[in-house]
Amino acid sequence: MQYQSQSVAKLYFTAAIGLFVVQVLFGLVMGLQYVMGDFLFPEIPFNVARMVHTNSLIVWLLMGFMGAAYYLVPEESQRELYSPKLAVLMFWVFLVAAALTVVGYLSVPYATLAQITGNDLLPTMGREFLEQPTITKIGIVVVALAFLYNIGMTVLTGRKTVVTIVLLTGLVGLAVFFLFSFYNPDNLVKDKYYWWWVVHLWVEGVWELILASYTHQL
Amino acid sequence: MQEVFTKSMARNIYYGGSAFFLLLFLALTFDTHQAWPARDNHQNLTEQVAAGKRLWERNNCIGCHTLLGEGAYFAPELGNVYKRFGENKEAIKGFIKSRPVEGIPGRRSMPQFNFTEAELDEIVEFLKYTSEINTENWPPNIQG
Ligand code: HEC
Repeated sequence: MQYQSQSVAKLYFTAAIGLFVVQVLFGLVMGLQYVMGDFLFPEIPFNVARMVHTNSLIVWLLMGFMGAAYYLVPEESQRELYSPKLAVLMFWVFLVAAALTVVGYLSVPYATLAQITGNDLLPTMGREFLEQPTITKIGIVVVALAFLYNIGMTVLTGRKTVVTIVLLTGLVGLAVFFLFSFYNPDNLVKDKYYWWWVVHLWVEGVWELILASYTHQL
Repeated sequence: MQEVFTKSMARNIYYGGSAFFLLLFLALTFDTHQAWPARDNHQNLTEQVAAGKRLWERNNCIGCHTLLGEGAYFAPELGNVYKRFGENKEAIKGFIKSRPVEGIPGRRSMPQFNFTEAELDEIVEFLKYTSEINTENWPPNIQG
């Protein structure tokens, strides 16, 4: 480690590993429910276990590559992170939001969660992988924008390389495509079409671009 | 010998290629928008159907079921359930209404949602509307 601010990556990696364990545990619950249909029913129905499983997967992947960006961008740009404080703050915002969301999934019926988080004001919940309450989604946008800003400022005021430029394109895509999760028309066909923009353009379009820039750095 | 592949060529391919495919993607999106009216069954998208969609979302039905192929594979496909139940709305309502709170021992169970009669109507109207979307015959068989 050549730069002190690289150490914020540690927080992100630790949480990513923790969330990975959560993902695996709930994956095992679902696996058991496939074989023993009534396992944990009605306490943890399959759909609830599945939300915890897939959502913790999404968050640990995001945390993992945010941590990786905080680790490698200083070396690549040859300067300290623009704001290590912002990186730490956003880590806690993200972790607390994720934890509260999981507690919400497990402690009350989903419809109740939708009601107390005001889903009727801006209905975005109840679509595959986009089950998070609208307020959590807003949190994800804030975290993604702060991440983009922090990495962007570091990159643009430091040494620019192929790696950082590809990374930045990926991060802009990360922030932009997630915005489609707020678009939920009554027309099911349109809904599914733009759902796909988030789910698949995120994973196959944007995340893989980000990860490609990392592998190049190695 | 001249260098064959320069850094600036790589950069042009990256920016040019990305811009090209982004524009192509937008063109395809535009084309998709044009194709919708003929097949998305929007003429039957009533208030009741929209309310049914909200109920569908608010209870996370997609967490167990697939709808037109997309969703979870724990429980039956519901995009064509209206047709599977012989276009019998009461039968679908009856099924949803009669789920035991404690589930069925040893079997995969569906929760009891305690819907009102009006909510059941909304859900069923939503499932009917969905079954009439032109999906090029997806799912390919009636079992889903
Ligand atoms: C916890 C998982 C779960 C959730 C959530 C769930 N279902 Fe089900 N559903 C099932 C299972 C399992 C079956 C099959 C039950 C059986 O055959 O005994 C089923 C069957 C059905 C059927 C009959 C399908 C057929 O072909 O026999 C309908 C209709 C249905 N569900 C509608 C819904 C609706 C509407 C919602 C949301 C309000 C919903 N389900 C939420 C698990 C679930």
